[in-house]
Amino acid sequence: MRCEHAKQMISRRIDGELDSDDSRGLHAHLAGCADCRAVATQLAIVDDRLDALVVPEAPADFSRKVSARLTDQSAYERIIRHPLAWFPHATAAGLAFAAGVLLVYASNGVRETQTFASAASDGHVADYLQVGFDESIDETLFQLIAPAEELP
Amino acid sequence: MPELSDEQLMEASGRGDREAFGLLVKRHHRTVLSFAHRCTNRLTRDAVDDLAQEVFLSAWKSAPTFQPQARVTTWLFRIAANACFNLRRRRRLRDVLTLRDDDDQRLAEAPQSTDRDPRSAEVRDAVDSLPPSQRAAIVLRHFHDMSYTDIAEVLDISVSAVESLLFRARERLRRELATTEDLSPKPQVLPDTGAQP
Repeated sequence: MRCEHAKQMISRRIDGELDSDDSRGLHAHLAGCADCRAVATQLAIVDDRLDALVVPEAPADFSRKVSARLTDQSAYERIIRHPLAWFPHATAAGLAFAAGVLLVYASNGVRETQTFASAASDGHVADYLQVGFDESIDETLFQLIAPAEELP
Repeated sequence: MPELSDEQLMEASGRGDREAFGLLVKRHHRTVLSFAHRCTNRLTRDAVDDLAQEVFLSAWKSAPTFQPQARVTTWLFRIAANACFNLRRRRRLRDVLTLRDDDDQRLAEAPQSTDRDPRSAEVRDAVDSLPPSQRAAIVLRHFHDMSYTDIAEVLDISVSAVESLLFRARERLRRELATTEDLSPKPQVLPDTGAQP
């Protein structure tokens, strides 16, 4: 038996995978080969040293984390696999956004109209428009927006 | 449901039964975590947790294709081994491109060893230096007590290839450790009988 083959058998013997015939052959080789005996001893020590490698305790919330990720993944895959599934939600969201924008514009428009009308009735349209470089503008604008019966 | 076998639970999982899959996770998460911890290079605990979670997410995705004649543990180990190999490939690619990513941070924050024996740092370094397939083989054999046939199934190789992987892994560990520590047997401490010479 060659030493290389004997070393492979030593590895199998450590794993308990050596049959009785091979075991006898290895025993005979080791009896006459000091090098392989040394290797067999060292491999046995290496195997013992591996036992000392411990792993940390598993986290207590591991199962919960996996469950949470499964839930996230399921939601994501529903969207990816069924693209139209999100359509009603997106439509509703779009309509709500559009309604909000319109509401803001409408309320701003009312406020602007009221402020402008108030400024015009007080004769301070230039102040409202923040121009102020020509006081005659108030008069001109007042005439423009004043009811027809009030014009001279 | 706890009386159901792993295979029955996996079949139920394949039909979308989350409760059945949750039981499988509870049964096997320690095994998957310990395998991932030993097969990856000094990742932080959080990174190993992430990897193990990915293994179960993959298992959930693949549950509908699970073959009932297969063993769930072997199947989980196969997914876990592939996840570890892929991680290693990604890190190697990153090293080639010299890009930094989260893994650098994970490695920088690697926790203190929890090994019992102070000399285990050398053993861990030696195990870390093994090629991925040798490392997976030695971990499956030594720590999970798997037969050559089961390891062959997990790694999708022949039984003789498993034998060869284990032999080469042990030889490499022996040579690595021989350079850093004394591999001679520990002298036996004889009990003190109080007898004078």
